[in-house]
Amino acid sequence: MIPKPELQWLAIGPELITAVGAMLVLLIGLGKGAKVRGTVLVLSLLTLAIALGFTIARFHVTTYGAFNGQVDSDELANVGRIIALSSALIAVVFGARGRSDDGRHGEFHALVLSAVCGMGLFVAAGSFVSLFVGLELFSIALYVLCALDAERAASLESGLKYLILGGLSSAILLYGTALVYGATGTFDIAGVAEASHRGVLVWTGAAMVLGGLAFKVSAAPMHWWTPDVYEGAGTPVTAFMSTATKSVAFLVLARVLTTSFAPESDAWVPVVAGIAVTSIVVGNVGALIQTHLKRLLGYSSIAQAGYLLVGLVGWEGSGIPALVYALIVYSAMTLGAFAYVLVLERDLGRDATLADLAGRGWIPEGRSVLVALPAFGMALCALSLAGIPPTAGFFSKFALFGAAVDHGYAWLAFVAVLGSVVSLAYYLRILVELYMHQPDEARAEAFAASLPAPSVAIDESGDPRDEVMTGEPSHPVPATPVRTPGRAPVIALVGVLLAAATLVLAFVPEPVLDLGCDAKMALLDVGSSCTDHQAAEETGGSSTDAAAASPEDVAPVE
Amino acid sequence: MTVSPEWFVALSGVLFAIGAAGVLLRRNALVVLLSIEIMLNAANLALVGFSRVHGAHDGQVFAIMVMAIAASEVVVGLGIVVALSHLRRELDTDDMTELHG
Amino acid sequence: MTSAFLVAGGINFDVPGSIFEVALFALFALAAVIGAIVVVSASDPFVSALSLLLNFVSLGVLYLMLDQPFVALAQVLVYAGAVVVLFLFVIAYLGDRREVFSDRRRAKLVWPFALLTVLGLGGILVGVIIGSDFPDTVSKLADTAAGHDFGTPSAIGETFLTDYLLEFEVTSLVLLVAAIGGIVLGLTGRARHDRMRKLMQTRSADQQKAVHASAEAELRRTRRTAPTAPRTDTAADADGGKEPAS
Repeated sequence: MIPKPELQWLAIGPELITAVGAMLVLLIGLGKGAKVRGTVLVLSLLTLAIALGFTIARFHVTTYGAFNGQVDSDELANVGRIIALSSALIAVVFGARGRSDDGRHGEFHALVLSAVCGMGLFVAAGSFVSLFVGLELFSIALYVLCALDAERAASLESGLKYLILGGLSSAILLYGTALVYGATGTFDIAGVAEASHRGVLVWTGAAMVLGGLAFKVSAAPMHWWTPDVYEGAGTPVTAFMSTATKSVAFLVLARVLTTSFAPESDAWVPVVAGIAVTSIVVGNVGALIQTHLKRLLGYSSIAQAGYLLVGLVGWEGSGIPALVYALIVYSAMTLGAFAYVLVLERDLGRDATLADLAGRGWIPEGRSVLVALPAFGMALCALSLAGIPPTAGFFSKFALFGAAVDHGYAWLAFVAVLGSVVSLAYYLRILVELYMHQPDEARAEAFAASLPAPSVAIDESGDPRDEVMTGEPSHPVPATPVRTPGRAPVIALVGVLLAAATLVLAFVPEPVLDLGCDAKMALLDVGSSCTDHQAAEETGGSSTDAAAASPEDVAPVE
Repeated sequence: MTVSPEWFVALSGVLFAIGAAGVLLRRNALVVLLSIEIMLNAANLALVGFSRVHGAHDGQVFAIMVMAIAASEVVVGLGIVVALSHLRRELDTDDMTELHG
Repeated sequence: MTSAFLVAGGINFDVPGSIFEVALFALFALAAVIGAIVVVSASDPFVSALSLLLNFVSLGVLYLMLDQPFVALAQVLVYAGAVVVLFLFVIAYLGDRREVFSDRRRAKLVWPFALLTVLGLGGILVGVIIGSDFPDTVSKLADTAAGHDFGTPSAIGETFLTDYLLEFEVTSLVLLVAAIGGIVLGLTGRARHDRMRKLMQTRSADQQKAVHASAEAELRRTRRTAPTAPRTDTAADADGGKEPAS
């Protein structure tokens, strides 16, 4: 007689909602016409909103060991779900008009919803099996999304590149999982920590799991796909990928390292510190020489991954709350920046460069202040990414670096601060362009010419076949790769709101820090040390507490 | 001398390394995809070998799931390769002039 | 250890001791390694795909030796039967294009690195695996928890549909996503291909010129409308929020 498995459906509620939504959207999307298009968009937004509401309503409902130990739905998982769902919501708004009008509306939305479903499962994984399956679900959806957007070669190539390097990282993660399973005899994330038999096999396995996840957070030296894929994929997809994927991967990294491999923390903390330094150096130095805005943001996201890893080093103290706070801030400011990039792209009808920003911060005569607001939002996001004081970016960095200092990694914090100073060079370049340069057509043209693949490239001497495939001159409908310039007021509005959010997060950080504390308590079961609002700035006092809390305390509580 | 499951796992380490070399060093997209398959298979062999060591079924079940997932990855990968081949005659990931990275 | 499956098939290697088993392992391990090396090193993807078949089938036999007939069956059916055939289809479809670039440029530089990677990574992994003592190496199946059911379809099915039910369901979603991806990418490729062919068929030079000219006009138009100064029509018109008429 086969025992009936325990099925706690509510523990994976958001995933169920998004999965059902994905299939509905796919079915309805089979129709043609503007009506179907609108319906699909609304349905997809509605699905995400319902799932978001469900997650928020049940934020504090934790279920450990659901589905025979496959799902641990706790506050950490809910933080990840909230970030992924909000990011998807914004990405869907971004992508609402960008898709071609060829009757295939459903796929984009179905893939985004499936990706969110996979992310939810990934971040709520209670075993390495569900972790891997969730990872592959959202990864495969993202490979297609990267390749799908816009009918141009760069998109397909970025999809292929992402798939190849993603496949490599999945294989590394899988092999690491196999080694851990070999040593401990279990796939259970909490169970691995309880296994008495540890040793070099677990270490190697942990290193490979770390390597596989480092790819997803685009930390150096597993970063090299990031600029190319960010550039090649459509901007809505890039925005989704750079925030949602990175955030859930960071949360899972935190979960796995601090539960499964807590006994090995002396071994992995220096490794994480090393990866953080490499990412900060590679990201910041790489960003200095970029002119293409999306590439610049790609390198910047590598550097940001480095800063976030700094927080992970101080996991026993205030690292986890700081990480959660920083992830939410990072997502807001990155989405805000991409919103403006998208506005710019729509306006120009091609990829945007730094020179295209010139003079956009000014209010033209006879126009309302509103005209310059999106550019101001971009400036705020750039300041926040750089970590300039009045913005949330500053406080998140402060919290992250403080956590590392508490843990005895002052040198790491020093390197990170040094990296931030270097990063001022390129973030301020954005502000300089916006507010101190006159718009110069010739200069913008020169920059545009240096673009690797202008989507409207017409090369007289080139192979005529290439021309044909990049443009469809006979009937220039918006679906053609020659992107029609236009305005995107909704996206601009979203961008401004996100920029405002970075300010709000700076001055009212308590609710978010509370989330972080809840997540930390879910992970480490540290009791009351995390209840006051200043947890992020807390000093070493709590770290002893956390150290005392052994992973066994994360017992299945139903 | 008997064949112990550890031998199989050690073999999987060798196969994994060969596959990794293929992914890192070859530039033909098709061969790279094939190399990824070798790596996933090596991981499967390790899972199955350890499953035998522990006398539990978890590893085998995971291995079967990995097979399905690997097949999905291949479908998407080959789909992109075919779509790309319509666009360019070369499948060379090194020659991706659109993305200079 | 003995393989119930092979014994049932009339091969009894309990009698000649384990030498037969060692020989069997050595043979198929060698085949798997050679297959993998050829996959990685062959200049023709067609050869690579075929030697991947060798690798997969050898692994299938090794799974049998590990007393796991069901995984062996799935290995041969899914990998050899589906994945490799898919690869061969695509390679055949691509025809000449598969070989356009076969690493000749790098060949000399690459081999030392390849050797280094294999020896380094492989050495570490094998060293770690051989060097670590396993918790409780079970060599007799009867001693294991699973006992005589080990590796049978029914035992695997039970584990699949109890402990791993959720993953089982989610895997189906992964397959759905892959199917969507395959269809969407295929259609995109076809659409491009058709468009290209249409242009190739417009044989007259005039027509081609017209096509080029209109593309160029489009380009000039987009360039001209884009970087005009000062920016007045950025997307700030949240109040006027009309969709542009291009």
